[in-house]
Amino acid sequence: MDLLFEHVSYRYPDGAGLVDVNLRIRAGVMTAILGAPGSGKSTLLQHMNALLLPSQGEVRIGATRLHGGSGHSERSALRRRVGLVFQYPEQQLFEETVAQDLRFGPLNFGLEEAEAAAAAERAAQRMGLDATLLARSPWQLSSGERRRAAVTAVLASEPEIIVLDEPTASLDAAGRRELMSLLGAMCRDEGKTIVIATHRIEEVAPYAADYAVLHEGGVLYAGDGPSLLQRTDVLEQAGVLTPTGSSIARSLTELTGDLKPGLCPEPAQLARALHESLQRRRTTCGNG
Amino acid sequence: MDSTLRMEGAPALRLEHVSSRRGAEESLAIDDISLTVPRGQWVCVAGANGSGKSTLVRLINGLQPCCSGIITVGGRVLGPDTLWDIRCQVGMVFPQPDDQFVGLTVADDLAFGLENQCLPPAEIHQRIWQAATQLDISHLLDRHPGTLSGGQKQRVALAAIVAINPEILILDEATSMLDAASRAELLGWLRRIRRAGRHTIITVTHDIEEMAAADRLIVLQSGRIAADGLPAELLRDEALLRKQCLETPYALALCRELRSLGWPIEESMTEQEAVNAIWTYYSSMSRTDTRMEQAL
Amino acid sequence: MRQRMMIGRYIAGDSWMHRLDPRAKIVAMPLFMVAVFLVDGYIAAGALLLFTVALLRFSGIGLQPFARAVRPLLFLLLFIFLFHLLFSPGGSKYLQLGSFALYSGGLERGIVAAGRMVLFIVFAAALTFTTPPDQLAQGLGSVLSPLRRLRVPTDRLALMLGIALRFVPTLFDEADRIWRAQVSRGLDLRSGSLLRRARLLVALLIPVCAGAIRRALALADAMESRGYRIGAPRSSYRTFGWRAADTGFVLLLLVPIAAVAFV
Repeated sequence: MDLLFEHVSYRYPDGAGLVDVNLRIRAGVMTAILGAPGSGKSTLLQHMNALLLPSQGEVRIGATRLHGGSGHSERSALRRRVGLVFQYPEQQLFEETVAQDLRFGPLNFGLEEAEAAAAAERAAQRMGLDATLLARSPWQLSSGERRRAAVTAVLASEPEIIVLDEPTASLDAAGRRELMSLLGAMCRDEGKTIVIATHRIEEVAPYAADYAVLHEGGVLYAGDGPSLLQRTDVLEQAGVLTPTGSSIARSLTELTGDLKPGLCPEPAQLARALHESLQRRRTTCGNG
Repeated sequence: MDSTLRMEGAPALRLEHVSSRRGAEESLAIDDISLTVPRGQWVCVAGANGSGKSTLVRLINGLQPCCSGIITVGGRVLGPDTLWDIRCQVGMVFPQPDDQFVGLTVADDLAFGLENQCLPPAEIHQRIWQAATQLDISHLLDRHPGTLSGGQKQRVALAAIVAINPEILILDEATSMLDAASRAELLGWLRRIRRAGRHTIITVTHDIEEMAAADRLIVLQSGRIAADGLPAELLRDEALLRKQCLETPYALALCRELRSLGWPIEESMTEQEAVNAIWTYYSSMSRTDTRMEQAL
Repeated sequence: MRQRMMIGRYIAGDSWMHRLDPRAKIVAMPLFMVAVFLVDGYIAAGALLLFTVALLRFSGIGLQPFARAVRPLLFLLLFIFLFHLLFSPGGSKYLQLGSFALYSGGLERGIVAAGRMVLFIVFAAALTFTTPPDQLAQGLGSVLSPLRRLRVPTDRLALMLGIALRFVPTLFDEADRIWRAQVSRGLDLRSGSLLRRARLLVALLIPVCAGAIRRALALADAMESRGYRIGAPRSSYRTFGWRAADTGFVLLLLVPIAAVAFV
């Protein structure tokens, strides 16, 4: 089910917040939310699981509508369906073993012990956490393992929509690649809707279908990757750094006039595109 | 702290057969490392998580105890009597912006290290002002840390160290918790400091751009030095990068892919060079065929 | 970055009270407390109230912030008032309510007791409204420094106070984040038995405590690496200048003490 923002505004006491946001998060795909710190990414994400209610406008998922006056039960009901992973989620682990922490969410949402354990088990399998790790205390894990455990803890409640705020913050390159590929697989193979707030375009580029760029609480851009690549004005205004790959791809596209690269192509992809472009040039010239 | 006591000819840092244990365990976090860092050099220490990068730099100012070997900082051997003097000569920026901010305001924080050295108020004020101007935070001096962004806090941390005017600046993953824009900004400040040439810089990082900006790259693996040389050379070594789980710079990877497709272009490290090389070849090949076509 | 919990509730300004040396304000506090505790009747209370209101005019701060400072303690004030009203005899009897009798004496004591509390809160609030927290911490360290002769580590205490003031907003923010994260995982403290809810609080307390300890260890490393040594002498970059106005302020606070004591 799509998640819709309709004219959503939110004001914090000191100003800031969201300003007339209209956005559609499509079901079954990965959406990347880009923007500088303070652009409203966090606020937007917290509206998706009813942690915050809009001051104006509505957030809709299917028949469920959330607005300023929504009650406690509606908000709790939404939290089962939308899992939100905060930045540095490992800080919220507290149980004696990882397995118990994984069960925390399902138990809170009303599952019986046995069901909760089964759900936790399934989530652990999906995220590659083995039994020995599950039996350990969260504080005995390495930073990468703790991150994965914390994300798994949110997945254990089996939400249909998973929202993550900078899930790869301060992980090393291998850790980042691993986590993103797990998330991408979840989207592709299980049809989960995934929303990722990030400032690293190159990480989401292989997996994300939709992009939204936030700036000062408003949506500057909503659409696909390749078009975003052309919108240097948007990226600059929003203070989003273009990764080296995108920048090279854009320069070469302008020069050759012929490439159609993705938002952030892998070196191999871009090389192939260049090679094919050159072949095309030479063939047309030869046949001319 | 009398800076004239420093021996002018001595290297900034020397480690001789230094080892250090991992906490209370028997295993070694740092295993028999020897290295020398001349004054004014920018060294980057890289390696996978757990390779000992942070441990290595923490040995330098005594936060991490070493169980064997000799550490010499600015000509002075690190030991219980020299520890505090050496700490005046080594400034460290930590990864977490919040957890190294001691003062209630930026000015307070900049003053903290200087107060520890019992400097008179007038001199402290002057040094605070100089450091704040150098790192462009003079407009933030009255601010509480809760009102600053992560990037600003790290700049304050850097300014606080610069105010102490140490010989060695150590940045332990100082950019890992920052967003891309702040990271680029801090890297710019480091380059500026390097150009001024008054400090020896040691950075621990995962970031390829920081590695490329340094004068020297040391890669650690399991507490030992796996590689030590020019970044330009080491970053071209694919086997090494793969083994150390480091990323190849994009420009370089692109050039290599094209070479494997038969393009005779130079392997370039930077974006500009890569684009130039690729376009030169592309346009020359297109033009050649057009000329051939016209000749027929 | 929300500024909800800016500690000390410092309100920027340039009033006479803002410009006083923080040490003068800190020394004035116990003097005022003496005056407050010497108050024992309507007249004394009224006089001190007038004095305080006049003094607060010089802080340049309106009524609203003071009202906000008193509001959290309204229940306590009510309790104090009712306690005296119902249990203090003396003076003429007003009425009888079952086994309780309301006396005029009790009414007076209740009002005065509650009033003392209000005066105390309001003066303390004036102190924090007009003094930035960093100056407060250092001022306190300076005022207490004679105690060093008795081997009390006043400079360490002042530093601890400063660090506490520095981190309280940060810790609150982190607690808030952890709260939101656990609520996102279904934590619901509204339903269920009291015992169950108490146990669920663990989901908040443990991460917050673990976080605080983690920060403390990291901060200790940072402080040591910048040359901090426990017990070693430190200079202070902030200098206060004691002026005639500061002496005047402290002497001014002897007036209500004298007045209240001898009225």
